Formats: sequence, structure tokens, C-alpha cells
Amino acid sequence: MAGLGKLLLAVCTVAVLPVGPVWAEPIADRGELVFRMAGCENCHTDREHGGARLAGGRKLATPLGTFYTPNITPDPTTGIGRWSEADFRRALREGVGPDGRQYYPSFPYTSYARMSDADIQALWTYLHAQPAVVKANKSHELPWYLNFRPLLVIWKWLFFSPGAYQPEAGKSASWNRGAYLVQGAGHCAECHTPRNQLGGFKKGMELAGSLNGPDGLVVPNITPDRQYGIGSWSKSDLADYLGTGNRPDGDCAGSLMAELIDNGLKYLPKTDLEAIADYVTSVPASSNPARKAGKAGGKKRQQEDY
Amino acid sequence: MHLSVKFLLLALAGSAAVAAQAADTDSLVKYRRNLMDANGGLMGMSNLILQNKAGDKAQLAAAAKELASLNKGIAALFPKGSASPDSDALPEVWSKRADFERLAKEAETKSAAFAKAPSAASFKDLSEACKSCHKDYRK
Repeated sequence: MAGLGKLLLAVCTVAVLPVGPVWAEPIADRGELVFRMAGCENCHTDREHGGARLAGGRKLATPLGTFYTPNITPDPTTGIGRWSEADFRRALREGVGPDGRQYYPSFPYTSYARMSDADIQALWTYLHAQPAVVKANKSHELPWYLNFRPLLVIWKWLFFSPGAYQPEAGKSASWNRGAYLVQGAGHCAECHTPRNQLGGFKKGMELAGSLNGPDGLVVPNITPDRQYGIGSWSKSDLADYLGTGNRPDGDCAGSLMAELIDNGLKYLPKTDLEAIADYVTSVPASSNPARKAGKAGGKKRQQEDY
Repeated sequence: MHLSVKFLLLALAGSAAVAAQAADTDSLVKYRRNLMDANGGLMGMSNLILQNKAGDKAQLAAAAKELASLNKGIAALFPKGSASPDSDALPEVWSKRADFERLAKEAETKSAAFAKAPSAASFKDLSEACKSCHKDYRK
């Protein structure tokens, strides 16, 4: 009888356990977690041509020109093997290379600057533990007037605000964690916030979507606007999407977002994904209609565009 | 009949054929969009049922069965020359055909497995198959 009771109890316990989507096993190593969140592997691997992991060479077509990502393996000659941790921190925080060269903001130091020292250190340790690959970097293909890198100092003066993320008082720990991840390592705004003709973010349009995303893609408005953004998504819809790629309308992530989920977001702890959802659902709603040209428009079609 | 008139008739017939071809592509793009929309609806339903948020198990079985039927032979809906500005299919659908067909087949296999035994695990396998194809082959 006691046995039957226990069995019944066990059955009932199983039955009332919250049923959720099947998530990947979260990772324990802090460096890998930061690495996954930052999506380093996506841009720094030329997956399309079977390039070695993190050895660079992926083409990034932007309205300002074509960039080729560099090798970030620990190879001393073609990678970042001779860098110091201070060099690495400076690259992420200031967008300046060890040789003093200015980086183009196609490398999203504009967001990575928000990362904490501890996260940068953990990421450095992780990157230096990866296999070194010898692969020379390929030059960017830019219009002549953009090849003069000192001009980037002016760009930074106009559009870059340095400094690690500062928590906002009066907001929850989860919200602040989400804001930190979105604005820092996650660099969501780099694609989801529209830019002006000089490549700076348009003011007051955080995460409002862009018609000129990487590789000519339309990047959706993810503000809580009910018509043009994802205002109809609940927080748990958004967290589930980031962990699984499944949208509440049954469609799934595609293209660059599918890469970000597959290589990174799905490995984050659920609490981090919920934190991201806490923050993203709190940004000002924007009715910026980021959708493909020539489409019929309307709510349904627009939501299917990502 | 004068030779130039004959040529004119041939040209007219030719352009009619081209227009017919374009119309077919147009319908095909609409058809596969509708099919994918149906897939999306069924996946969205299944996800809600599996999370105990709405719906019931009988509908889960029905949705899974329908998915298995719709996902048979997806690649055939993307024949050569069916690219279109109205389509979200990337050119790689045709330039990397073998890989595209492999992933389309994977979606078919996982749909069948989901229909056979609908569960959170088989749903996840299927949604991973959808995503892995949409990652490289859809805008």
C-alpha cells in the first residue's frame, strides 16, 4: 500500500511539473558563456566556405562596403596569439588594435565596450584555449575614402560612447542583467537598431528594426509595438524563442538569427534568456515598419519576415 | 503568309509561353508560402499543446499527422527557375542543391517521427530540422 502511495505520489509529481520547451544544457564555463552570448563564432568563421572555426574570412556586406572578419585564433602570426589581455580589452572597449589602428564599427566594440572586466577576462581565457589556425586575414573592400582609418576617430567622437554598463537603480536585477547582455556582449542593437547614412545609430530608435541589415537583410523591429514590433509576444514567448528558435506563431528563426541561436543563445541559462526578455519587452515601442520592399505589408506578412 | 508575319506570330507565341511560365512560378511561390504558413500554424499549435498552455492531445496527433503529410517532398516545390522577388528562398536553394535536398529530407524524416510519437523531444527534433534549413536557405 505504501508502495502504491509512493507510486501515486511520483506519478502526480511528474504530472504537475511545469512542462516547457526542451532546452539545451546550459554551459558552466563563464568564458564560453560570454563567447556564446557575443556570437564571436558566427562572424569569425567562414562557414559558407568551410573555413576553420574562428579563423575569420567571413564576408560581411554592408551599405558602407564589404568587410572580411579577421582570424581570432591564438595563432601568433595570423591570429591574436601575440596579444596581451590588455590589448584584447582595449580592442573590445575602445575599438583600437594593439598597433594603434582604429577598428571599423563592423566589429561591434560599440556594444562590447559595455562588457564587464570580469567577462572580458573570461572571454580572453576562453579564446586563448581554442586551437590556433594559420590563416592570413583578407583586406576589406571599401570605397577609397573609407580606407583612411584615422577618420574613424571622428566617427567615434560622433557616435561612440565608451564605458562599461552601469546598472540602473530602481530596476530589477533581472532587468539589469538583460540590459547588460543586450547592450553589451549580445550586441543586439548592431543589427536591430536602424542607422543613419554615416552608420551611427538613429536616436530614440533602439531595436526598432533596419532595412539595411548585414548581407542586405531586413532586420525586424523587436520593440513592444503591437503592429510593427513583437508587442504580442509574452516574455516567456521571447525567452522560449531565444532558447529554441520557435516563434509563438509556429514559424522558426532563420538566417543570421538562427545562427545566433544555434551557436550561442540556446546554451545560455534560462534565467539569462528571461532577463533578456525582461529588458527587450521594456524598451520604448516603435512603429518603424522594418519589412521587405515590395511586400504586401499588413501585420501578418510583416511578422513573417524574420 | 509573309515571312515577317510568321516571325511575328512565333514571337507572340514565345512571349505567351514566357508569361505562362512566370504565372506558374507566381502560383508556385504562393503555394509554397501557404504550405509553409500551414506548417507554421501546425507547429505553433503543437508547441502550445506540448507546453500545456492550450489545446488538447487529440489535436496534437492531428497536427503532427498533417505536418508529416505536408513535409513530404518539400524540395520538389523549389524547382530550378522558381526564384522570385516575392520569395524568401535564397539563391543557395539552387546553388547548393544537394545540401538543401538533404535538409528538406531531414524535415520529412523528423515530421514522420513526430507524427509517429508526438512529444516534446520529437517536436524539438523537428523544429531543429526546420531551423537548420531556414538558417542557410531562407532570407
